[in-house]
Amino acid sequence: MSTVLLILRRCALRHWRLAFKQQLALVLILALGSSVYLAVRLASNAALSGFETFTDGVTRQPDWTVQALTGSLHEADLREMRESLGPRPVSLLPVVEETVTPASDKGNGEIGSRPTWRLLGVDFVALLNLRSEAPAGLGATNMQSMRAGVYVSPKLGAKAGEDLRLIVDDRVITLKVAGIVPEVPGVPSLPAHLLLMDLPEAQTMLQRGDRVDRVEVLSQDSTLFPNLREETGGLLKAHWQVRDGANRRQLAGTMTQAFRLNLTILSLLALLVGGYLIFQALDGVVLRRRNEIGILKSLGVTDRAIQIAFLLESGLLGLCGGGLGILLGWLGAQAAVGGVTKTMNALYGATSEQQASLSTSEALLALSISILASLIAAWWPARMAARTPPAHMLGHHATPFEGGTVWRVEWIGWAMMLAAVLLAQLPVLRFENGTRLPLAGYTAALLWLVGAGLAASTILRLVARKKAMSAVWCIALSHLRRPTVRHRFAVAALASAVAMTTGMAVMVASFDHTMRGWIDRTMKADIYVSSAGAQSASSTHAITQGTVAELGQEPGVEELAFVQAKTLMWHGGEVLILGTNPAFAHKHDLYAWVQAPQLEKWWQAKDGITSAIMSESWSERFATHVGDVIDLAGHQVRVVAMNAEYGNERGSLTLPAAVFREWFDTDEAWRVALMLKPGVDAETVRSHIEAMQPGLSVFTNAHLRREALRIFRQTFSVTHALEVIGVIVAVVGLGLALTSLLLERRAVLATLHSLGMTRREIAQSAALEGLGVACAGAFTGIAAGLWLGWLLVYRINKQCFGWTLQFHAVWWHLAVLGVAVIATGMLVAALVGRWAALLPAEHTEE
Amino acid sequence: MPVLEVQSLTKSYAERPILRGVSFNLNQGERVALLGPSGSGKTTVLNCVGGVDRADTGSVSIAGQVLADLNADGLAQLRRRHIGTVFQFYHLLPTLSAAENIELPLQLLGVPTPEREARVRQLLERVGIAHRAAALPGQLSGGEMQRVAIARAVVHRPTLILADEPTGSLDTTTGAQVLDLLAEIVQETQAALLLVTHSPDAVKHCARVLRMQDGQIVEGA
Repeated sequence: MSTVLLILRRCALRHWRLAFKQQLALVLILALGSSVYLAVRLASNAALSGFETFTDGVTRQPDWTVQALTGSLHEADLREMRESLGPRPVSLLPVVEETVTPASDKGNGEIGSRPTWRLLGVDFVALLNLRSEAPAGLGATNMQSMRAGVYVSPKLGAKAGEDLRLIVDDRVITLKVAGIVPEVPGVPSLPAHLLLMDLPEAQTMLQRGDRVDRVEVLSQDSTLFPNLREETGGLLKAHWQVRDGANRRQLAGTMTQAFRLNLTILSLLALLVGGYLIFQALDGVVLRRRNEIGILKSLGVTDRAIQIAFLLESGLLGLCGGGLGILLGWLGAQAAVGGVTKTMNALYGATSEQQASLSTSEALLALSISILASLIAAWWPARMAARTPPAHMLGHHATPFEGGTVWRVEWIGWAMMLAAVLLAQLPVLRFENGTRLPLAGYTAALLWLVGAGLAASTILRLVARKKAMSAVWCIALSHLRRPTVRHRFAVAALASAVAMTTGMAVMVASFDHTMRGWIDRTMKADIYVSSAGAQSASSTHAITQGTVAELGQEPGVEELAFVQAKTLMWHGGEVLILGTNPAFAHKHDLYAWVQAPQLEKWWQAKDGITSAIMSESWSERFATHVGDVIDLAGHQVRVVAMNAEYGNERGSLTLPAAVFREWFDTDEAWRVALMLKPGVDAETVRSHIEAMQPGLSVFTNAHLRREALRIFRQTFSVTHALEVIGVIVAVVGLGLALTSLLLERRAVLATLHSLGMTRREIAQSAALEGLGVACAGAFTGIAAGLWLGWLLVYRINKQCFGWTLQFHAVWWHLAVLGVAVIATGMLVAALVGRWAALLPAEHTEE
Repeated sequence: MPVLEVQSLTKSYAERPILRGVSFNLNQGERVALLGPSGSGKTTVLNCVGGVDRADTGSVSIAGQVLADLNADGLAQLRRRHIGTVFQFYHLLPTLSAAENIELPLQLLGVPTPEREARVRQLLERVGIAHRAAALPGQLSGGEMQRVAIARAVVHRPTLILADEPTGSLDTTTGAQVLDLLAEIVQETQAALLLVTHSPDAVKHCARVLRMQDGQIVEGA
């Protein structure tokens, strides 16, 4: 160990001082990789935490949340609950909850751009009985001093007595701020965008009558009932839907699973490309120090000591890079959280923007990952430093290091690709609440990417089969015909990056293409109306029947239909139940059938069993088939058809409107579609409705189509950015690989110089070598990416979300990608070649 | 007119003088050995003459062209047309076969393919390694590699051949064979040869001996 420390102190750290800029660049590369990983993770966590704070902010986390199987809970349910619990010391807190939107903030006209707040109606009497668990400001007050209006957090920035204009359902109403609830450390405090109201007042304002949305159940400590929590849950589950905190967090996690998975893959990609750059850079370090290593070896330093010293040095680099990465990652997270929250809001709704906070565990994780990435990246260069004989290091007989045999066996790559094809045939792993993990698909993608990278050298040799007519070509092609491990790694990295980009591009293009077709098929109404507060599929804003009737009487409107929506728990997961007018949908051919119903009038019940249509996501999530009879919240339902529905990945079941109204006891609409009379201008009608109904958002068909595609593209914008970074890093990696190759080849360069090759010709030869590597990487990458796209479209996407997409590749996009990779690869290689041609000749120095 | 004229060459590294006014000439077909102890400046003379290093003062002219007047590209052109070099450690390109290594100077000069192939074939036979034409340098013995290096040095019919310890890495017997071959080929091509060596056997193949000490020619100039 003393030898290792001696090498570190006397050699490695002195190199750090002498080549400070180079070491700083290495630290920055690692810092960037780990900071992107940390920033994406923190921003994603912060946006996700918004789901929890809305529901858990008013009291301590309740033991159970009770909801009706379908529809709302009535006062009679509350009495029944109390009776079923008997003398047990349990507090019941009835709650109504609604999403609301400030009328003053109109956003920028895009869906998801307006803030979503939550209005919580809680029984203040029951809440004040829970003094120690209620927010401090309420707990300190008493019933007599409670005023009508809403209580808000100081973070909202409103003042007591001020009026708040809010969009509630389809109405604009004004509420007075009754008080500001101060924040006291250690006591529950109100989240920034939560408005608290007394239950009766909220029920009146929201036109709920005696209905509540849920009841929060809080158990007290009791020696008489040692298993009180479990007993309570058991008693309540007999009649109602009962969830605990873990269920709710899991639900929020499941809702956003797809988006977070996307972010996680991208953050890992950032780390991977950072690791690749470190690998290339450390490989160059070993080459630059090979004389020193040779001398140390000739002085008796063991191979093991050399290897450990290099690994320790890279560990130190990882520590410095990780430390800096934590700082950069935290700063990046603050910037990213807004964007991530906005996208989550547009897709899932109802989250509030939180500050991304850094915990010790997250910091340690980022640091560990940075050190680990650095150690993995340094492993091969350290091994190479340890294993190369001193004579090679000292230069007189220097030959290019070709690496271990394993790296040169191309059939391993082909075998991995074959394994990927076989793995892609395996089914998805299913869990209890409908969650699925396409483990075989992900493994196939990984094997395919690595395999394609390893097999790419075959293409490299094919590229090099061209007959060389000039010395410059002859030299360049001779290196490609017998590629070293550095060539192979450079081709593999380029091929993998291009394959990943191509695969993602194919998936996005297929999604885009399919979405457009689906929108053409299903969006045939001239105008669509929703509450102005409805920012996503998860918003609870609704439109009353009165307003629907007024819309129907608009001049210019020929026909009107509306969709009702409610969520409910089924098999441990949340699903969307829709109610529609099936005759209207049938008349206008609005369904994109995956499996059409056998009967034209599918909505007619058979044998007294309700008929319904399930979405593909439902079928994939719960393995339900057309023809199955399922039990849904106590009702028998026969699935008679399956439709394509790209609006949500949790799955939806469409019922005839009459059945929906019966089940959920509501006639409120979620969305309204208007068909206009021939010749009526949609924009004129839209403007008229919006002027008459300030609580509604009104979209023309063209605007809604644009919005749907915008939200879709917004979801993939981070993906595109990181794809570009991936390709840039692979090209930079190619430059670093060529640098190492040319450094190793200094004696050869000197020979070429002696033979009369000009510096320009030497640079040209290096550029052609780079061109060959770039061509092999780009061709293999695009070919491999097309299959990866197939895997993403037909397997992983289908297994994750249940969506059938049509394979679609934008060929000019892929051609541009190929040309860009080849051109930048050649440019980088030419720059490196120019630099190498100016290197002092190695064998003339001896 | 001399093929090579070296006039008052001086060269220092880090203010340490290596060459102190070296002057000598070589005529067409002349074979000259450059002898001297280690550190006397032999390799530096060879580098300056080969145009891969520049002298501080003095001049070198090859075939009437003054090296100091040429830029980097001009020097490269001069090397590819007029100079052939044989190194102690062969310095064959590891990724090119024996035949391709020999062919390379002709490709640099733009010689048409049929002529190139004929000259390479002829030289491979002349140096006795026609059966190893397709072998890579890593598959050749030291003697074979030096034969390839000699063939590469003469394939483009240079005016001047520079040889730096061409037998330094070979055993005595092989070294003698290589020297015989080098001398024969130089004789056939009528090129001038400047041979840097420590070997007394090598000196026997040369008509004249230049002896160097402390950066100066002390005998034979």
